[in-house]
Amino acid sequence: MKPTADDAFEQRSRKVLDSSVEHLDGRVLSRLNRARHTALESATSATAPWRLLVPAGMAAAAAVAVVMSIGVGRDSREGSIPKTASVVLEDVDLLSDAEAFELAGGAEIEFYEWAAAQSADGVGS
Amino acid sequence: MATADGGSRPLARSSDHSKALDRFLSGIERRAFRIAQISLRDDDDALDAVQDSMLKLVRSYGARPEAEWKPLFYRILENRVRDVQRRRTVRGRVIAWLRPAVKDEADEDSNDAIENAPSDALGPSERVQLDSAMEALGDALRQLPNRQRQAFLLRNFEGMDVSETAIAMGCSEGSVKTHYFRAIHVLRVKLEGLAS
Repeated sequence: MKPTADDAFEQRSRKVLDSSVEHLDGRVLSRLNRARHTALESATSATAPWRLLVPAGMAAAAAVAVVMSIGVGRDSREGSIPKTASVVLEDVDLLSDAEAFELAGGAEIEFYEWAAAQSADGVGS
Repeated sequence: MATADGGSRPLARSSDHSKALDRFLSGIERRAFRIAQISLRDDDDALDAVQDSMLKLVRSYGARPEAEWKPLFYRILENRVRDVQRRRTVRGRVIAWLRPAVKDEADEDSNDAIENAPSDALGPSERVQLDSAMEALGDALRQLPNRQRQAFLLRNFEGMDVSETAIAMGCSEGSVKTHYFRAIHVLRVKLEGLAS
């Protein structure tokens, strides 16, 4: 197929653009090189800090929740240990102990109540 | 994981993945710079736009299939270029108006320079010739509507096919063809018409 005027222009303009990037000055090439390395380094370091922040953030959130809960439940009398605070602390203990949390969950409670009753009655001993 | 067919599956995080990203970025960085520089007319702004785009690609899309990197990269770059242009507009309309209009003289010499532009090692006169051709082409490109310029640079200079260009531009393949055809027509008339 015979090349059209558009084809010829496409080739000439591509040649100009290609030549212009073959002869970029050293400063530009150096900056491009640094930019590439910075980007590639970010690929390896990007995930690690984020993963470290998750547990740190959860711990901080839990601490804030505890402080706020104690503050809300504080008895007006100075120096006394409020009843609500001890309850909250028990809840925190429960939440922080995965095994205890599982034990406290759902229909299982009925089983543990029944087991305790059996034990108190001396069944199986 | 890298694939032999150019990457139809996501690459695993590995040294192969890093090497693939390095190869990709090395392969496009110069043309990306030139594309940004044509739009922004400033080397430092263009370099910043390319660096931001590299970071964004690696951090947000590095795990995507390798075949998607190029259109994604150029989409990010175009957004960066537009951000810079918007910031400039907000900051300094007055400064932009005060810029001297020096393009006419460059256009006078442009056509012959484009036709004879050298591509090998350059002597001083060839360097001048190339700079002159590039300036003329850059000026003509800057006068095009954004979409036409983008279609021309991605198709003609970066060598992307119609479907990749459509992804990079966020439009249909039909629109890419239309923008490209109009760009070629306008540029050819503008740059060749000056010689006759």
